[in-house]
Amino acid sequence: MSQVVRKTIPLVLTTFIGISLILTYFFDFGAAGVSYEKLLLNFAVTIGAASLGLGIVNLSRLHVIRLQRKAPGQWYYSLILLASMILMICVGLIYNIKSDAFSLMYDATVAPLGATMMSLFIVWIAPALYRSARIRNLGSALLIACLFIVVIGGSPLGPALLPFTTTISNWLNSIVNLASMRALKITTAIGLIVLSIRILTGKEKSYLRLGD
Amino acid sequence: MVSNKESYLKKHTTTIIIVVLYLFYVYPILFPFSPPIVIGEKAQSFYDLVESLPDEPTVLLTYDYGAVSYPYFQGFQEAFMKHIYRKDGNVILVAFGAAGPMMYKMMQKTFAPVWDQKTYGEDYVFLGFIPGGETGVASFMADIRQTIMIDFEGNPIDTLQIMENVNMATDFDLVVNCETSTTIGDGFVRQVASAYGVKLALVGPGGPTWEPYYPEQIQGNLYPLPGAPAEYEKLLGAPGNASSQIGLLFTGSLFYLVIIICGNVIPRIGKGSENGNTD
Repeated sequence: MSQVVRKTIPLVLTTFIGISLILTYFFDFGAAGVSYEKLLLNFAVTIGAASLGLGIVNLSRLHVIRLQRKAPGQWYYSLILLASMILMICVGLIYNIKSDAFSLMYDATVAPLGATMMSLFIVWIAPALYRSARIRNLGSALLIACLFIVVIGGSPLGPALLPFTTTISNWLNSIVNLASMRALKITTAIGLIVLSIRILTGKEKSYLRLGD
Repeated sequence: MVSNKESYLKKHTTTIIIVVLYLFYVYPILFPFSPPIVIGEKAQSFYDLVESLPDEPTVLLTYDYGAVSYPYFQGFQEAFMKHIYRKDGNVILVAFGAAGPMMYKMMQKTFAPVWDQKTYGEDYVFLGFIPGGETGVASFMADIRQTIMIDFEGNPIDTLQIMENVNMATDFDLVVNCETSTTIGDGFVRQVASAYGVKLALVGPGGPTWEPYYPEQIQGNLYPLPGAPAEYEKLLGAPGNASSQIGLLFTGSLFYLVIIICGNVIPRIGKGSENGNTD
């Protein structure tokens, strides 16, 4: 019974829905096909919304366990996280997310904390760049030359100081970068098609987490 | 033997770099200046794309970013809305990122000069957050009314004048997506450009990864960081937020150049003098 519920039913559902959606994309089944496709897309949006709730439950579970165990060096962060989350949820539920109170909470906490993290990232990356962006061999010299040209040419520095770098930077972006990105996207797409075929034919079952 | 001065510099390299960094970033704030803004190909093609739209266009502006990235997009979005309103168009906003509603609240504050002369529900509307990532995009583009029934303010979308003849992707003259990641941008190419052939522009730091789609599947690919929004403002003849940040972008880029040069020159000088002393 457990095998049927955990393996057979999900596999049959996945194969049926996947193949039927592919068929509705390539063949015209009239209004019924369109309605079926829209219905399934709506299911996915609803599941996406529900997954946000699931995320809250999972996050709470993880941090409540840390609090219960008084994990050294972690429990007070978990406490702050849970308290902040409960406070934001309560304010959102009581006053509505459109309220000024909720906006104030967001503007006074999430926005400046995010800006702080980004600023710290810049402060952290500058000394790292000083130590790592060094010419050691031909490869690193080429890399730094490209970095130099892209930084100058892709910013307001180029037109102001060295206009030719803008031309080289555009060439690097539209030819070298384009070729590598195209190769990356095509290979990723082929990989996805192969994975989809494996899922639809029931050969790929890792998403069922049968080993857990 | 390394001199005391050299060992002091070696020991305090990080501190010196951070102090210099602050100087480079504080200078344009204290003494604002504007380096020349040269119109790039991307800004020009985006401007031409909007210009090529019919009069009174209906445009969908979608976004998937949080408060951290808001400064990236603020200047561009303000200029874009001004451009659309010049053509007597309408802007429909929708978020595919969870922080979307809060970004809309931020927009309400910063775009007040633009929106104060406009009517909500007639000239612009915010349809709220749609979860599901690319599937959410697909659902929205296939049938807006089946995906959402009310806007962010709680009005049934059938009661909104702006939504009268807007039911699916093909009812938009242009779709513009702003995002900081690169995942949903590819989704827009699949669900908007490939599926319906609607004009699409992607705006975000992920621009280089979308290059393969430009200009066939996506007609606009604007990177906010190199100053393209400032170039767009210049084309519009309406300098705004993006133009005011160009001085900061100039000194910020200059700082990284200085750091790369110093990182390659200073250790070599140190080594040279060290060798000279030992020799």
